[in-house]
Amino acid sequence: MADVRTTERQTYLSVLVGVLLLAGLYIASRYSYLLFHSLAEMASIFVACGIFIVAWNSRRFLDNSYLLLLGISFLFVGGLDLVHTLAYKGMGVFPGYDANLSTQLWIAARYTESVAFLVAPVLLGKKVKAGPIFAGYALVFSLLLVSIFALGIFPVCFIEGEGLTTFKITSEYVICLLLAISAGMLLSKRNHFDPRVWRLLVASIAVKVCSELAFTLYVDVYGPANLVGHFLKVVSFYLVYIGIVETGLSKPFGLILRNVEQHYRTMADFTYDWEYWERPEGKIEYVSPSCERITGYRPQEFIDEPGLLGEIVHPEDSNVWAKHRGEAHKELKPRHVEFRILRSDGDVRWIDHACQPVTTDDGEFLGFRASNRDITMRKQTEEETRKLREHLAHVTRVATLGELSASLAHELNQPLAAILSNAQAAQRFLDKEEPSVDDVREALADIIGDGRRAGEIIRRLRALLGKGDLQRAPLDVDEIVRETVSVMRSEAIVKNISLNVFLADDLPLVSGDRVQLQQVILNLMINAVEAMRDVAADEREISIRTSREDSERIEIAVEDRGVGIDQYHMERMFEPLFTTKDNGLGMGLSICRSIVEAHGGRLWAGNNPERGATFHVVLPAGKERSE
Amino acid sequence: MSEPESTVFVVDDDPSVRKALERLFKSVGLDVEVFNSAKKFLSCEEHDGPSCLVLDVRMPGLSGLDLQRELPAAGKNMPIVFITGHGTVPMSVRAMKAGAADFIEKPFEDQVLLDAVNKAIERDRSMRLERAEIAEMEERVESLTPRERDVFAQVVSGKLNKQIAYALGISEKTVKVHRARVMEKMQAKSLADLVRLAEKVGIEFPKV
Repeated sequence: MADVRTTERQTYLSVLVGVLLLAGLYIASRYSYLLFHSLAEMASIFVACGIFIVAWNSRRFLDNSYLLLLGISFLFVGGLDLVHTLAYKGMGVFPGYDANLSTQLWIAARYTESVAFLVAPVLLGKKVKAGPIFAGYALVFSLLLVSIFALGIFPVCFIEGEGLTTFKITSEYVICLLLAISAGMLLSKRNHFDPRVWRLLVASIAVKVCSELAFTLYVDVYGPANLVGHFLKVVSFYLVYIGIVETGLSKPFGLILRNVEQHYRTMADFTYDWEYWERPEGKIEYVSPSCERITGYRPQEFIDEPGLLGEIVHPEDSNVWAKHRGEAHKELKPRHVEFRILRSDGDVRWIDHACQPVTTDDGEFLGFRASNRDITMRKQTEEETRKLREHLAHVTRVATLGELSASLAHELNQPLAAILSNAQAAQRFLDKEEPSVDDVREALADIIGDGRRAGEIIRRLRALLGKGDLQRAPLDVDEIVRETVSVMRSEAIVKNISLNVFLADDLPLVSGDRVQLQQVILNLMINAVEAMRDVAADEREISIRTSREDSERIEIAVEDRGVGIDQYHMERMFEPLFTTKDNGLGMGLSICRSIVEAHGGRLWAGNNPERGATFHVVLPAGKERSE
Repeated sequence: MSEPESTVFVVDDDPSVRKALERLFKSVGLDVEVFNSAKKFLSCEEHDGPSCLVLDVRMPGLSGLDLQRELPAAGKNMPIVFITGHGTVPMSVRAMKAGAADFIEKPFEDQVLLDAVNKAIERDRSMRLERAEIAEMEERVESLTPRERDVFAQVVSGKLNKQIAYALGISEKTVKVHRARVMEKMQAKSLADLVRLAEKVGIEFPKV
């Protein structure tokens, strides 16, 4: 609103200055016409120079080639006018010439000016270089002066006593016509200009036409028609002056800066990410149009309702957002957070939100500049990758248990056989002539115990065969080893392997997925069994140890007394699809390593000093996560 | 004949199975002795009643099949009923070839196991009887003098007294006396009886 008031005040001021100038000129004309003419011409020459100086110095920012051409042409128009003024009747600067000289110079200046007005609209929207234009005008200016002074080939315009020649009068009409055409062209190019500048340019041309018409009428160069013509000429120059000089310099967002701002706004408007600038008090200063693609809401909606972003954050992530907002305002540092939003159409999108405080050079806080990137695709890919990895882990787990199926069936048959025998024995006790209640009770107690045992085996197998999502929980490593060893017990018996288990007992909990860690230990044990296939039966031995590596790490070591690992395999055995088994998948160790690494741990192997190899699993102790 | 009680020996490393089998055999009035390993069984005292061994194939240390191989050396010959949680065909073939009485998969119907055990005990009983009979025959043969054994051999090979006398270079009368002593010592009622006994003892007589 302030801008409009300033503009109005400027307009009044400009008109006032104009009126005072004209009044001064009129007073001068009452005193001496020659004085009036000199002052009037000088005024228009000054204005012409001003126009040139502004246009020339702002040429690098000036996208408007109309104004650039006009600005350069006015220097030479001013130049011709200066010579015209000096050559005017009664000045006595150029002895031997009569009033024809100044009239010829006048016509040359008017042609130059009107052609500039005619050509300028054609250049609108085109990129032109200031240098060549300047050089072109300098050439034209020189040719005109040479043709008038040195060669005398410029047509005669004024004959003393007879008045204006036909060439002069016709030229004025032609100039009027050219100006009228240029005004018409300007009408259709309205959108290239600031409305105020455009109106001033049109007004200037209109006044110029009137001025030219006045000059067709005079007989005496000191006559009243000549006076009015000069008045109007000054007015028309002054209008261009206001249009370019005053408006261009006093309205920073108008002519020059408007182009600069347009640059940055275009950059912001066309960013792919959804950008915004939030003022310290919470007002949204700017929102890039990309917000509509990502959220379905228009920029104006975010500006009208500064809390809209907070409202569309997914309910499950609202605490993430609230925490971020709280800390961002407290810390005033660049921050980064990921959360989901609900689009206007109800779809869910993942957003990567990065923001940083904006401050001036002297540290004044101007709000937050934020950039929101739609990372839904990336999140989906991550999710799919995670699912694939879990699926692969599951497949290899099932394959691993498949290798154990014989011993697992044995493991499960033991309690089943016991239950059946106990139940049938109980029946027989009841069928006796004197049923033995105590025997039946004992049998039932054992059946219950064996039933639980069978249930426990099934539960463990189902957990291992299960396809559940990865679940992180605080886990007791000793318990995991114990459970896994119980699954391997039968297998060890069949393969004549003695199993030694050394548990540390007082280990801190680790954070992880029970089933996946069991899978790792199971895999390492099966590999150990495999490694001892060709070892004498009484020398087969697997030792499993849990220990505290240091205050932050827990180690599980699986040691065998097998053939050891040769260097070639040592390097390659953790790669996918690498296997030494006849029907192995080659996924076991690679999956084991990816599981251990997903738990923030390490898995590696080494040969023992005497014989066999040891696989080490080191997991981070998760005291802080065990709450 | 007052015979000692028949006994079932159970060797299984799984305490639940051990206890259940013990209870099952008790419920049908069988005497049971349980062992948690093959080694323990091998070192137990000998039992002189009809018996059978119920044996788990898979065990830590000495397995069921290992034990089967070592039984004769330990002088504990008795029919074996194998039970297994997950048997394979080669495993059962190996057990049966080595003379197992039966091969039963867990879990089993009680009657199947009891029938197998009873059959095995019966087999052990008749084997024991036969062994006792043979032992007695051998004792009788032992009581014969060398000359009587010579005559015994000649008689059961179907020779006439005269032929025997000629072969041994003694008188026919002496042959008759020896022959009567043999019939008496061997408690044979007829020549056919004597031949049957000789076959049962299976002692190789020196060929004349």
